[in-house]
Amino acid sequence: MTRLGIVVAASLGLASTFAPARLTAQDVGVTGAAEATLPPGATFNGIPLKGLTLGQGIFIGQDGSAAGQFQAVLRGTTLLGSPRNVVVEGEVSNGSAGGGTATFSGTASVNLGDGTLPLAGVPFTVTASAGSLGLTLNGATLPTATVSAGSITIE
Amino acid sequence: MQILRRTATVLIGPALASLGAGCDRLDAPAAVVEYGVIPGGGPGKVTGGGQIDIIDATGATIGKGTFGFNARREPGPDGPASGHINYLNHVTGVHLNCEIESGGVFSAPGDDPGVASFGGYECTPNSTFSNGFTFRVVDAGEPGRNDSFTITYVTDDGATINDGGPTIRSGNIQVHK
Repeated sequence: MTRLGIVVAASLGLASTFAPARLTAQDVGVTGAAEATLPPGATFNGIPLKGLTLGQGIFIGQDGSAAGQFQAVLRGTTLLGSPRNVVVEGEVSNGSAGGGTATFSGTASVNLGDGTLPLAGVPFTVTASAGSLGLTLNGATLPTATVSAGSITIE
Repeated sequence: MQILRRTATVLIGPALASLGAGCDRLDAPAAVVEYGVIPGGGPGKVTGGGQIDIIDATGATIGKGTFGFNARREPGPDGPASGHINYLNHVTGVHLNCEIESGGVFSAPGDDPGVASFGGYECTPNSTFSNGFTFRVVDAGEPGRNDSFTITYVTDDGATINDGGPTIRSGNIQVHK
């Protein structure tokens, strides 16, 4: 075998050895730590919302599977004007990404911040881009939030 | 938040040589303090998102920080680490948006808690600092119960900042099996 042949064979061997890792490496990563503002009039479960903070770390596979966490604090106020935060802690199970946007979904625990026990198994869907985030929680779609501090990364 | 102001351990040479990444940094003067290189660790995948308490020098909680990351270490003794972390300290406004370049999982598969540590030194221009960072996570229970996240980063004046308390405020960290 020529030297070139050896190199080619070795390269093919390495390629097959690392094939599973390459597939893994093709996952899309979505991360974020940010504050975002919601437009006037945004509400969830009757709570007027001003904005949210989010922390998220997710791998999205090419087959539509996904794994990771989505955490958000929806910053609201009561009708009397005192702060009231809704905390969403979600586990991501499905997702897709393309064109600088990622969409992922799963189920979440939702603490309404009113002293009641957190709601479990609440379905959620997030559409995230570098400068914005859309959240649908238990079928209720919030207006798109605009990132005002921090960042969201899709790569 | 604790400001430790101490000299960082310089690990950059051999660790980077084994990682095969960012070797331009080898040209940096020897006296330059380098953070962000985590030697050792094993393969695995780790994700997390949530909030931590920001604690001052007296131990009082003065606010919160938000984190989100994904990190992986490929198999093999020199398996590369990759991923990304975003971090925002809501008290100081410090924002990190950085690539993960070293580290791995430090617990055995199936261990409870799972422990992982990652680091890097390349952050986007919109980051407050780009002088190296490391973070350590503990996945101690579900969903996020007793998990911890601590991040260390170096400011432009050389101060070393540690953010994070004994447990996260909310969210979850997952060392994937």
